[in-house]
Amino acid sequence: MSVSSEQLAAYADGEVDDVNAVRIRRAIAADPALAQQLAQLTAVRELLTARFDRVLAEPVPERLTAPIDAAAKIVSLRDVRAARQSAWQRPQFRFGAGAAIAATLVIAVLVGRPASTPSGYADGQLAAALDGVSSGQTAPDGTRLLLSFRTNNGSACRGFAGKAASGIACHDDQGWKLEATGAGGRQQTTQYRQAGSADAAIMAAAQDMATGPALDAAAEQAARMAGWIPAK
Amino acid sequence: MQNDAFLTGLTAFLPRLRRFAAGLARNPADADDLCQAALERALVSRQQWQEGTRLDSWMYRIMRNIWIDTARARTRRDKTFAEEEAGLTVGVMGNQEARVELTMVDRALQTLPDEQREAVLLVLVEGYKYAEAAAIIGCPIGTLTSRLLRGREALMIKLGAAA
Repeated sequence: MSVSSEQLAAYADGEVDDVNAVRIRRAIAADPALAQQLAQLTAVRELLTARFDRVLAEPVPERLTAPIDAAAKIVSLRDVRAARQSAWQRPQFRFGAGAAIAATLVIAVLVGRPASTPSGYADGQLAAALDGVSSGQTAPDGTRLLLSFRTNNGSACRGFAGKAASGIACHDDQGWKLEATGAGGRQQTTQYRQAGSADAAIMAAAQDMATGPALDAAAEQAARMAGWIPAK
Repeated sequence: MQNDAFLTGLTAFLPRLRRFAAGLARNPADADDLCQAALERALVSRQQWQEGTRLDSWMYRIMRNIWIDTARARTRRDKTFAEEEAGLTVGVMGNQEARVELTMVDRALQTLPDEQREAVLLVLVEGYKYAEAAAIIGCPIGTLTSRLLRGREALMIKLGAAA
């Protein structure tokens, strides 16, 4: 009775039915060469598992747990934003005269901006994008605005992701101060990486800095109209 | 909550994902890059995962597809520069630590064609049934078993001294 190497391998892998297992077991018992082959099959499996099972015991690097943590935070951020949205839709939060007052303020802020940008502050196109582009939109230079939020001292901050740089900028009386920046999407991309991880990292950082939920469209509009001044 | 189950499942699965990546990639840094890419793709396309189906096979399929795509691109590139040293130092140039960590098993595995390597890893290391491994790869069972057989025979020869 002959056993092919394919059948022997299937036997070693637990892939043969009971009837064939009995048949193969008998053949192995009767044939030392077959027993030797089986031992080799088992040895290869053991070498492989000895090499790779130790990976299971290694601590998982933060860069692999972070995207999952960030995803969990984005989900919760979205939930609170939705809750906030419904709050804004209540009549007492509707804008009326406030927007008109804000419109006059924005002129003062634009006039008041220093001519040269201090270091550590967004300049040029990035500052313009932070000033005027709504979250979810892309500025002409390719910078995407991700969200707006306020910190616990009331400052307005915005998360952005661009080709040159990504990060968070908070507005103060000198302009958009860069609080947390990383490389742009392109530099971070290794052969395996996809765009999108930078967004998740920024959303997570924003969640850590924010005192409340992300500003919804109406609140963001109001903050923009007010020149991004700190909330009282 | 479905989302929580998905994310909790992913977290629990990370060590195994890293083990599979360690077998596929050429060095530890590449392995974690591959893991991260698979994880990010899974997070983006989580709507495509159907609750009640196996998250591990779904993740392995994603990772395996990324690896295949990248390996094809890499093969084209490597052929231009490093043909004579294939199997020993390809992919670890400029990374001394990774080179030191390459074991005899790593070297033997790297000499296998990609399709034999993934078959060997899925069945012998990850412990999948032939049918499950074939489903992850997206090939008939007969194809899987013949790749496994050839890969295994090559490994037996390469590792013969230790086996």
